[in-house]
Amino acid sequence: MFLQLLINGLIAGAIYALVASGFSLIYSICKFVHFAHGAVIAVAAYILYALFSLLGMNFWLAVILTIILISIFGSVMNLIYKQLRKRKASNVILLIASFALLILIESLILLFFGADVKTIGFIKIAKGLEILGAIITPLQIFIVISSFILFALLFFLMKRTKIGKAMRAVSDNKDVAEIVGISSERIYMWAFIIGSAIAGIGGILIALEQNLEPMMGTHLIIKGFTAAIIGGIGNIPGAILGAFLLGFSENFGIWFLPSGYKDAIAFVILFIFLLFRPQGILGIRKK
Amino acid sequence: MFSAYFIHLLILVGIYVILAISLQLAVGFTGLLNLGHIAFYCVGAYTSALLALAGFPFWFAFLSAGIMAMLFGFLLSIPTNKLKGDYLALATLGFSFVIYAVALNWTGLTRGPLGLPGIPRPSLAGFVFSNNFSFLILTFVIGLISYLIIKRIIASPFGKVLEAVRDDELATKVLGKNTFKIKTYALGISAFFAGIAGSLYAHYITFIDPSSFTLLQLIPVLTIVIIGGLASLKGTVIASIILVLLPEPLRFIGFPSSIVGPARQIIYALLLLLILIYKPKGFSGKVKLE
Amino acid sequence: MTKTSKIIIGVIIAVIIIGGIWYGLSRKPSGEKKEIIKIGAILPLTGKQAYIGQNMREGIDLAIEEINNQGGLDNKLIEVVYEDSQGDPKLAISGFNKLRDVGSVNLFITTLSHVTLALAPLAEEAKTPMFTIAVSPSILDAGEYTFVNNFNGEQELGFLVDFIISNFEFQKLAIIAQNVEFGIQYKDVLERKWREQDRIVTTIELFDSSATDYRSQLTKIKNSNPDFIYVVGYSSHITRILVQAKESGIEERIFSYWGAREKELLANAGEAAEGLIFPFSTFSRETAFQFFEKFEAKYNKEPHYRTGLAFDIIGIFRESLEKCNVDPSNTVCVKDKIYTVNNYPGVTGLTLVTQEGGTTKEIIILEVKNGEFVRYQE
Repeated sequence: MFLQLLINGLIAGAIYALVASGFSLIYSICKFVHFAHGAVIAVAAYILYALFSLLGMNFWLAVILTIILISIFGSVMNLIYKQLRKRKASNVILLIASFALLILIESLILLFFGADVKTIGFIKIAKGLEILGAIITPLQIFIVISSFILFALLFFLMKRTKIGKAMRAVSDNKDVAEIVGISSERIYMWAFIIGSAIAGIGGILIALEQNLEPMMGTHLIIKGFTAAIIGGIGNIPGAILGAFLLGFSENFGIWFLPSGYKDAIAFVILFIFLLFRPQGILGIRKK
Repeated sequence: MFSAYFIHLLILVGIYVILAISLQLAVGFTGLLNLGHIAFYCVGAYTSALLALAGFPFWFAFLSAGIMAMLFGFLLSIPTNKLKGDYLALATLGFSFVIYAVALNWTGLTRGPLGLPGIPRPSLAGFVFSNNFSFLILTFVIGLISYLIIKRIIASPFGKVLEAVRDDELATKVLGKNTFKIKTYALGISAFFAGIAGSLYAHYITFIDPSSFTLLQLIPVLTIVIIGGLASLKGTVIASIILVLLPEPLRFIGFPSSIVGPARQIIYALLLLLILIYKPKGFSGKVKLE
Repeated sequence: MTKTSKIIIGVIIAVIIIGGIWYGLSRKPSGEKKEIIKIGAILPLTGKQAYIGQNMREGIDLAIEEINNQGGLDNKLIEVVYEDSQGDPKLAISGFNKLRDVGSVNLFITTLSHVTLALAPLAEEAKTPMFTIAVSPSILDAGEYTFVNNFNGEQELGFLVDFIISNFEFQKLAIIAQNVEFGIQYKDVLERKWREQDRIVTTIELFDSSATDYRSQLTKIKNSNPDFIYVVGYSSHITRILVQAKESGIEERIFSYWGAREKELLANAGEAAEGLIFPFSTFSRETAFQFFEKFEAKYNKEPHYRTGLAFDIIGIFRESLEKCNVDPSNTVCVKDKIYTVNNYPGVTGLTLVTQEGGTTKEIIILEVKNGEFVRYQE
């Protein structure tokens, strides 16, 4: 049972990490809480559903198109925030705006797709593979592996590429970066495009593994920002680490506790971290 | 005279006014962006319902609801006192998730998802507010008293200190004020009124379960506070009236329900977004959110 | 913006809103036509449980159409006014009051346990009979005017336990239930009934309404070595649990409740649904052939059990109204007559209204076989 719970935690963690990494990337550069990131994931899942299940498009083509469309969607969202930034809105205003955007987009999904649960039937249901007495399905292995590849790519992007360096410069100090000639607005745009593309990949994998419903974004972003805070908000490796910690503690937690407390475990951890270590595991306390 | 439907809407307006002006005290006047206000509302509703079901008189349950919520306000304030801006917002949001999870899972106390049915209507000195018109008058009186008390607090020297904390906490500290204590009181008072609003809700609907206290319930209240304008009590009251009644005409237009249902949330979210972009101070607000 | 323009905008908004509501309220048909009997239906037409409201709406519409096509009841036509509760008690109460005021409605239909419990005191005060299809046993104590047209958890689970004992040699039961009102009620009743038989409940696991991952609950269940598993929750949850149970290599027989009978469950769970067993009403094409034909002609799909329940509610109202000179304002009479309904030949089976305001119906056992719901055969 230990190994099975470990694997369950790993799968849950990988899904949370897909949510948390994009969220954290945007926070680290744009310095505000982008709750609507959850809605971006939901929109990606519904785009895939529309292209593949409704229009009958080839699956892989639908996947690529979804990622492109969701990146555009993310940059459109950035334009709304840009309006706010132009008016010197504080990060608290941006937070409330993102909250409003989350509700708005979810209600629109509800309006267009209805409340009933949708499934993308691309993968056949079968008993998973047995590894040392624990069971895991091929899709889940794929989710875990692709999340690791994605995080490696993200790491490479941030450390090695020109755009990544510019992002880090803006993240460290926007004003200094502007002096050196980096346009912070352009970097914000890139943060949204890349963050939303990651959300898109996450949305696709989650759509295959779970059901689609209009409110899925809220549930995911709650777990995503919990993970980001555990790891240190704005710190991408921290967010990924936090996501796995969250996945493990939820799944091991209900070994000891009644399983009704599964969601409560996440909230209690979130609250404890906010109170006693708001900078998270890897974060550095800022003034 | 008034129809029952209209009376019902006015009762909801009254409850929202109390909720919104109490949130205004924290957000607008003290500068504490508290996203956990619904948690106090929840604590108040459950406290009042449980006491009334155990046979305690209404006035006792009602006041206990406020006091219990206030204690939770103090409790939340102690650890979050150092937090500012979006950290405070997230911590208070996390707090409301914890309270929701407790209401859902502590079945021994709250009956969890089964909820608490059969909460008695209020009675004072032998008079039972069983009919809605009398309940409306009760709500109106309590709402008015809450408004006057909060107005009084704001006009008092203590209120000036609250605004000083909002505008420049450090300077207030330098002047020798104990900002920790001040913020704790502010959150406590704010929570007290959210608690009594919860009590009114519980005794009006006569049934509560955790689903009445989710994140979605926060949106209308937050929208009211921001549209009404930060640090403006009058604006908040007017916004409460408009926002509670705004989606109601939708009931009479012949749209299919698949549109009317989501439209309610869309109206609130869209209004909130537009106001943040074009009029961040709200309609009669005095300050901007920092 | 200047102060005056602010005031002007404020006044305009206020006028629009109040005018809108006032217009709506004043649309009360002038002269109060006596020929119309109004029934109010407060259903979740949007939101997570919209499918329930939709199912019921179709049944109500069909029943009304049928009566009106035959010239109505004693020359009075029936009209249904819908209000969307969105599953929120506050909105349901708004709807109830609106229907009372604007529509002078005296008969009500609703559903969802928490909405019914919130509306019951209002129905009691207004003395207006109200039917629900929600199954929570606590509704039976909610008041004289609140009726349930469905079998309740006690009857259904009592039947299931007897069935399991006489058909399987199972001793150890594991339960996985959704942490909502009816999930908890079903879980509690089943646990009690199974223990009364001196048998073992190995573990009880819960999941939240937002859950999509049930693996750790299933791991715990698997580890407790039950002989069989009982699942209760919304059908989308049951579907995912069946899939994840199969993926996790759980081979024990899975049982569920009547809400599992959804076409989507078969489509989305595929092979994982094979062997699922649950109690259900006799409602089927064979027992309600005419109803199925008429429904399919109108909607071009198969009717749901909830559709049948809602259809029968109208039938019970009709029968009771006819015994009260078709006068819907005589609500006390209508209520009293509903209590006397006995062996009503509904499409969901012979229906008897009990003294608590519940109903009893015949129950059978269904099984999923070759991708279809069929009657269980040994």
